[in-house]
Amino acid sequence: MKLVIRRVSPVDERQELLDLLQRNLGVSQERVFEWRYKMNPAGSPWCWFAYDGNNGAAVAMTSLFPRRMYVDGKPLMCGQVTHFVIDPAYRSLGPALLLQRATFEPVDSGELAFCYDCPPHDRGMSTFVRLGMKASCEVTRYTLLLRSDEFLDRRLGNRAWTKPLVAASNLALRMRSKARLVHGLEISEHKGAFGEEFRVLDRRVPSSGMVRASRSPEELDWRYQQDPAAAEGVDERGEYRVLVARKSEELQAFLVLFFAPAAGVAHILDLFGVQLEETGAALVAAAVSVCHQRNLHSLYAFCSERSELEALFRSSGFRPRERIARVVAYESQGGKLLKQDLHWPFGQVEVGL
Amino acid sequence: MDNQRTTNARIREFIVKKFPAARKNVLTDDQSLLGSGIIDSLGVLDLVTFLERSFKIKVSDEELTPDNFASVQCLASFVTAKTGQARVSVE
Repeated sequence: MKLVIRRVSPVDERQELLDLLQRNLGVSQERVFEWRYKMNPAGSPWCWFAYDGNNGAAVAMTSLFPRRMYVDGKPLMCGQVTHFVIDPAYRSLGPALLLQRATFEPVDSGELAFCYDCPPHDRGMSTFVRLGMKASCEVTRYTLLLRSDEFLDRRLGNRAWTKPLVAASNLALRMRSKARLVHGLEISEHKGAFGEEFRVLDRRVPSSGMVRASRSPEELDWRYQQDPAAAEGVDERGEYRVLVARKSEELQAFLVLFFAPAAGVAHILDLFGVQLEETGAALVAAAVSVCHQRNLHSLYAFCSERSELEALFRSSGFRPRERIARVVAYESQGGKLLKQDLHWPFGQVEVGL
Repeated sequence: MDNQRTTNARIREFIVKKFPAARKNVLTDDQSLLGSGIIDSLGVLDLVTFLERSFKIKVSDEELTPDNFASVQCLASFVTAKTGQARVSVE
């Protein structure tokens, strides 16, 4: 079995790319193709196919999407590896290594400062172990229980005598998450396009000594306004809601909630701003209130082990659950960017696309 | 032929010792290691280290294919071919 790795144009090879993704991910990516591959405000992705040398068939692929990041205070263009799929008959370390090495090319050629991948499980680390690379951080899912119905049903069953217990438990959970009032801070819902005030906030939030994603209005619009998963007319459509915290009308922080279709849960996808111990806590309390209004049973949040969000989520009643991803970064030989002891305060917005 | 049998036995012994899933049933030489879940991609790394140390060979990334790692028999044939190559290049 000889595999040939070749860089391809995702536009020219659109159908083959979609076929590979459909075969391996099990869901059609038609809807998201335009959005991910053509509308990304950071630019077009790099894309590689692995071809079986015997019959010329495309049997694996990966894409590297450009992302604007701040690295130790400097705005730099980086890349995130996504859509890494290999047909079952070819799943072994060799093809994965060849594709992973291909994603380093734009870094080695100087087009990107570094690239990173977010393997969700131990098996996904095998290529990096072979390449001698280590994770820069791990991202954990946190859960806040909002209703006890399902939890108690699973343990006690749905019987007449459990109903008062469930009602009392739900009341206790509601009481726990009372809105936190912070003097001079106004929490409201943001609707429509993200304006220039978000760019100002992105520049205000410190980024020295750390690696974090940029939150320009163009990126936020693309991510939350144009995401086809929340577009009108889509079956099982999700929904984004953005809450903002302002002081004297100046934007201090924002929180992005995603309501997954028919799952009874919401996800805090992003929580970003200044003085998060105060503004973040108020935004989380407001998000919890929105979730209670919708009768959701859980709220999920995501952050890395050294993120300031970790303490914030814990103090808001969230409990850590499973690790959802590790972040493994690559920079070219001789690069000094990632050699420093940088802090990776990664959350869902950095590991998800 | 004897050498090949010894190679098979050494590889099988390592897999049975290292990977619990291989101990559920008798591991045959042609049993699928990757498809049956006996070895995952992290396990392949352990196997590579074992092959390189035990048979004094170097396994390249391109050789880490299902063809070479599908079964004990495939592994043994791969090792035999590699050690044969090494002998020829020394001669």
